[in-house]
Amino acid sequence: VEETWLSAESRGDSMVVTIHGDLDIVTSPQLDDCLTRAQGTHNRVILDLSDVDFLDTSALAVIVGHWKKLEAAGGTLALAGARYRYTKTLWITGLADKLTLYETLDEGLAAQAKAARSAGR
Amino acid sequence: VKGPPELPVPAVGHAALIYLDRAEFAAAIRGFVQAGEETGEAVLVAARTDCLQALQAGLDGAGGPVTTADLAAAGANPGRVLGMIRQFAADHDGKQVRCVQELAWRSRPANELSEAMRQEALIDMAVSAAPLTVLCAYDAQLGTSVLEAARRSHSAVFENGRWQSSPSYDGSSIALWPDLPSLPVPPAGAATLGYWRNQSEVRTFAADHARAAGLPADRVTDLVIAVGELTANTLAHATGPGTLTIWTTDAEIICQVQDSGQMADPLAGTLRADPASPRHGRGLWVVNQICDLVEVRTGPDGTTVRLHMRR
Repeated sequence: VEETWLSAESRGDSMVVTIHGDLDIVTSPQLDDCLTRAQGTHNRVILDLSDVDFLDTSALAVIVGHWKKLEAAGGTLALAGARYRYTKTLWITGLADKLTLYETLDEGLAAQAKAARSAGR
Repeated sequence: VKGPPELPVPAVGHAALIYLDRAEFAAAIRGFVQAGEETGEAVLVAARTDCLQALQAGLDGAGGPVTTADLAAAGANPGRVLGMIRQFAADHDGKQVRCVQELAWRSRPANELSEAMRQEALIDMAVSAAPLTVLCAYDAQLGTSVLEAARRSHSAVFENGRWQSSPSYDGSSIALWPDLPSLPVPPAGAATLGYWRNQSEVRTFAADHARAAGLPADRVTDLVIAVGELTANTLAHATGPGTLTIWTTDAEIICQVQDSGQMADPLAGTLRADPASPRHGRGLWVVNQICDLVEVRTGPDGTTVRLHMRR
């Protein structure tokens, strides 16, 4: 049984949370903890989903909860690298139309850095 | 053929039109749509392609805008119609709206018709909770059990040329549920897996069976998503492990998820949640969007959800 593991790394203005494996009702509390910690230091968070193999609606609820909290605090939450086939629930639920999605993490970092500069940090 | 255009439109929320032929059907629906337009109500018509075409001429002449939803294009699952109706109501900010739907048709298999009858009971609940009028069309040549269920789930019925309040209307839609035919027992050779927090194993099990049944890759993904959502619901709502059972027929792969929990809200999964709402409860809705049929039986003894995917 493959494990799900997460890492968080500060990249410029953003905290990048990278998820490897599956996000489901059993593993999404890990994401919840990780995002709570990330918000302690950053108000710009990018979730790198490029190595996510499965995403259920309980994980979506965690993502939406943190997205709303960050927005309320003047921050942002964006997704990078989500692959349709493995994260299709984002599209079925309509969340893909509401969240900021970047093709790749690099694209997301560049866009977030630009946004941070224009916001005067 | 001119139908009965003089039909008074029932002033109730949930009405059944048992029609003898397409002319009567079209005339009654035109009257219903026109009455809505006179009061400025938006109208949704959800039906199959041929039915929409039969209505088109009459609706074009009816005046104001009518939104149509092709149930053939939206897929077979009878569980999607209520979602469309509730979404249509939600999109109109609490203003009174009216909908026409035909989800029971003669060529439907028995299990789809049973589910359609359960959906009618749910529509009756939804109607009592929203500014919503729904007219449901029934071919008079449908089986007697279907028509009897329609008389129970609709407070007004058009039959034999006139509207009347239905003497067998239950009032409480939930009362229909115990009458639903029980689901046939899975075949002896069905594969089973007990589950409780072994989500990864559940997904592998479902994917292996979906591939063995010959489902294309994107449908394998859909089935894994659906089974993942249902088994996650067990963790969220039941107090102990559940059982996943999978088998195939010539036409379908069928997955059954059974646990000890009871569904508290019968309308769960019938309205798309606001994507920006952090609350839980999207699972069953997602399942309804990707499966061809979702049968639900729930009660104090537990919940069984059986989903069907065509091969």
